[in-house]
Amino acid sequence: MAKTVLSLKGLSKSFPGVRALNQVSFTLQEGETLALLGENGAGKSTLIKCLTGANVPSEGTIELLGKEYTSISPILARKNGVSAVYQEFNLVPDLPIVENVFMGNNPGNGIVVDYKQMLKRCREVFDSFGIDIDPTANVSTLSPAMMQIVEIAKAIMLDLKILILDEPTAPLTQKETEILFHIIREQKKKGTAFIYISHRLEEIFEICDRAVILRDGEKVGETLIRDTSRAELIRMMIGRELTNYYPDHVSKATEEVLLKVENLSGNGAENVSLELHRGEILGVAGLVGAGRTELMNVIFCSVPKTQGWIEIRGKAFHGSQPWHAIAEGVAYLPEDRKRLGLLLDKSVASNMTLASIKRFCRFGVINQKKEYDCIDSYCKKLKVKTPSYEKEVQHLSGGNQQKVIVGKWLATNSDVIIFDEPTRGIDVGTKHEIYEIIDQLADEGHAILMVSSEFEELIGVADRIVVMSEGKLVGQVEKDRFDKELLLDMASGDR
Amino acid sequence: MKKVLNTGKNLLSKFSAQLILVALIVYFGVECGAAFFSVNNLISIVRQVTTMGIAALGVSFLMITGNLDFSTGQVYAFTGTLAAVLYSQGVPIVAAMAAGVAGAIVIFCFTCWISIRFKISRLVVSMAMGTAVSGLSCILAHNKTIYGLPESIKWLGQGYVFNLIPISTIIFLVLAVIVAFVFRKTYLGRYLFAVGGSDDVARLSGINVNRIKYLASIIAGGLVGVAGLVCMSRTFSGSPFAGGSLSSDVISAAVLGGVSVTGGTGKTSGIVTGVIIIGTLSVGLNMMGMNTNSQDIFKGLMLLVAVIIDVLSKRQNAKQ
Repeated sequence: MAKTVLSLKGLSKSFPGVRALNQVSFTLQEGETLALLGENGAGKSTLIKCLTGANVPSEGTIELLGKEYTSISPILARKNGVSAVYQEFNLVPDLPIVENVFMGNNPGNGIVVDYKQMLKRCREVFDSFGIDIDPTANVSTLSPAMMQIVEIAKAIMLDLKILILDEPTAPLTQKETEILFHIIREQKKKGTAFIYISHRLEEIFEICDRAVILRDGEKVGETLIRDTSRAELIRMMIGRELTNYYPDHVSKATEEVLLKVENLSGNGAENVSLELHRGEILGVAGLVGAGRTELMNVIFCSVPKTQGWIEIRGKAFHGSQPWHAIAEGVAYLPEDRKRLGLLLDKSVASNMTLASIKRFCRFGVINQKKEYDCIDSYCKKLKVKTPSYEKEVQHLSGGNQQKVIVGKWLATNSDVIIFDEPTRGIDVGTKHEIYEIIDQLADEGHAILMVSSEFEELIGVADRIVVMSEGKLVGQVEKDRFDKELLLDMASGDR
Repeated sequence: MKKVLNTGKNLLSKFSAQLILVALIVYFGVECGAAFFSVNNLISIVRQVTTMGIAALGVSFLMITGNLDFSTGQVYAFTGTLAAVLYSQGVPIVAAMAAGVAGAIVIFCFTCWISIRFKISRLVVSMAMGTAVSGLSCILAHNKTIYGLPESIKWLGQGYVFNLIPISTIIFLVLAVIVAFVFRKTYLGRYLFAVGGSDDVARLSGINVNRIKYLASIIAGGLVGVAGLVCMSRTFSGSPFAGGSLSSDVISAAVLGGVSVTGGTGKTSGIVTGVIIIGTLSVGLNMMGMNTNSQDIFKGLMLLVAVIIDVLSKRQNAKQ
């Protein structure tokens, strides 16, 4: 019988007006990987913050290594070997990797830091991970994926009992995910317990032993991973059956070519040619760093092309700025929704008409009735859940934020819509709604370019998939040949 | 009970500028007695406020797009100096005044260009520009205040309607109404706020960000120029030293009125209130017999208070 390292008893946390956690109890054993599942807002982050000391629970106790506490301070968490790796990196970009790994934990005699030992231990850890990076290089030279690995290395340098990983694979490619899983397995052997949070259910089945499911702040289920199924987990997370996860899509692609790209290069994309038809959903697959977002930025003219040309509706397009592309009916929904897609502290209304506001103007003056009608109609069409159109978008859920951006582009009458990772960070139930919206838009005669790292989602939604690797288009797959393995092989450059 | 407290808090942060103003008025009222409320004194506050107010309206265009400018005072002095020098050289007064305003616009646009071209924060560029412009004004005026302006410009800074309300105040109020309209009802207003919220989001939404920044600089230059002319008319002279502490005063006023130093938020009513706060403070402190040096300490503290309120209200917002 393994030792229990953590045991929550009736843990509750209230914020003014909300009960974020309600009587949650579970245990964590030594060397175990526990999946913590739930939609956004289910209480996962609150729970984690209670464990790392960022939040003070309102009720209940936390038993850590046999001692009972009513609340945990960050120092206590650290002393007991509890550490968390969040989605946002906590690294100093302009310092060497090795300095980051040992930040606040430098070996030495108290006055002089033992740099040699730091380097040696750092190299050892990276070797044990099976990755080759130079610890003396600055963190800023790393890819986001490698930064994630450095974060984990940093956590491991402490004498670790419990490591919490919050969406650790979001920036990782398949290969790097394998490295991460390897690290997790190695650490498990040493007795480290993991709490693992991810929206990607496949990973849960690969790496976790047990799952605790939260919904609306309450624990709604606990199960061994080997005794459950994907459908079962989803049912517990969203509280209902999700029969058709992907919409029943019948391709409405027509012969009319809306967007044609020929030998396009620039911004890391090389010599890309593709055609997009009216009513078609064209998936763009690839691993992180394959140059997909970069290509989309060139098409949208937010980064200049170095070569090649673009045709929109059969006419050559010579734009050099995003507003030229928008004027031709091209829309781009960026991957980094919060930083590039939305003015977070502005209302739903002003975000939605940001790109189209001139349409509602006469002599520069906004016709507020017309603007309101437009906002109203798109919010209803897209089922945006918001208490009022004046609500700041930062208070909306990820899914609703995405819908606001969709509405923003529909208001410009775009017919070529580029979705870049449209469901990143959006929970399972809402993902489905986003797929339906994409499907509906295609039905209405828009042409959709959909970039995604989740192959399953592309297979479920797209009519045709092109695969990118290292900036180049390496292949194209028609719907009848869709296959995850095939796409993966192509994307990793093995074929 | 909690709800009442929360609404109270909300009101407090929403009308913090107005509350500060009321507090100041009550304080000075008690300290200085009825004299503080005399018509003459109130008019003197209003007059104090007018030039700063027009300049603050201009600067708010820059601040809302996320650009702090610390050369307002120098550009303001430059406008009057240039107009007066040109007039003394025989240029007709109207043309000289137009040239003054044009000069202000050119300077602000140049600052904008440097800031965009070399991707340097406008704050830093404007400090350098301020120093340079101040030197230029002194050279133009040979380090002296230029007198001998024509009687025909007196109305602008010294004229009264019904022998009571200064014409310049009416100009300020009209401009304030126009600015409020631009901010709230036009697409230019939306674009200004969008650029202040995030350059990247604005650009990816199809807004020509640089054009908006230039436009903001032109409008700001124009308004600061007009403020400079009003000052020239009121003092009936063109002086390279007219700016004083205007650069930081206008920023204090705007921030007190809820224009964020990082851009993206602000209301005209707040700016007007902020300006009146600074005006009340100077007149009140004057009446209490405080000299300018000690007043500067107060004004400096005021800017600090304003920025702290700005940060706190943002944090409050983030929490909700």
